[in-house]
Amino acid sequence: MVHELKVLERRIATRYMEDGFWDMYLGLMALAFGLTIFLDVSYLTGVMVAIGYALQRIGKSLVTFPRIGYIKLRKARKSGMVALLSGVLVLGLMIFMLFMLGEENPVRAFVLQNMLFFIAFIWGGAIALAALSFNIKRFYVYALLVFFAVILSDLVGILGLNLIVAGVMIILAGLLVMLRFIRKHPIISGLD
Amino acid sequence: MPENNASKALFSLDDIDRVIHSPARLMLMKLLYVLDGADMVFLKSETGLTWGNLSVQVKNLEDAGYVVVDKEFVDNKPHTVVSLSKQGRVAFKAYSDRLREILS
Repeated sequence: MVHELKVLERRIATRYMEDGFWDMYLGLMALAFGLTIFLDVSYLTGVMVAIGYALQRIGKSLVTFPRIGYIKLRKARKSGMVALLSGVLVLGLMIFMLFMLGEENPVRAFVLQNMLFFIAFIWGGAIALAALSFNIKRFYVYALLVFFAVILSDLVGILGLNLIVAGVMIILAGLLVMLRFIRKHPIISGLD
Repeated sequence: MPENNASKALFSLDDIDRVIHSPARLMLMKLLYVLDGADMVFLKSETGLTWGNLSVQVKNLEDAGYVVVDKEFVDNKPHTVVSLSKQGRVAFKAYSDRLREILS
């Protein structure tokens, strides 16, 4: 019974990821990073991520809630999601700290030598973790896309441009997911 | 199971919570048990009940003290949010334990 309830809770949480808004937000982040590097405008990422978050909230309110309703997840699940995000941030911070330690630090030299691999691994890993946590298979594809966009930048192009292409691809995929969601779930009108 | 115990267990079906035992209310209780709250649109889309039936079942649960109905504003839009009360959470746990006991 406890297992069944956990499955139900997870299914409900996953259902709210089927509207494509998190896909588009993720794509927008990749696009923002790409444009920031490509155009060398430092504040662009912050501005685009903030706008993307606001758009995601508005989208949920206009598209998702009228179709499948509004829910408040249990605090334990919310805490789990916060812990997941915090873990990724702490991991990034630890690597950054290692990177900052003394000139002769071998770890620093190793990180510097393989910088792109580390960026790709952290970013791709974070998206793969989200895919695992919410059981969304298409997020694994995004993780691979971002991973290769970063790691192949040495071989096939400029880092910024690769991320722009990956970001646009993820946004388009998110749009398709949203259209499918809209078709599958008509607006429920009535009491609310 | 010895005959005495079997008849005792069957006899004790009487003490099962009748408010939760109806299929529609059981579905609602189960959904609300895994959430901190949900609006009527969500409950309707998950259970497939009609608005009328949903309202009646939510009212029954509210009268029993198992759920709390609130009007909340989410992004400036009103939502009728139903959540399980403490009493409702305890009752659902007791109900599921009792059912498992009977079926095992």
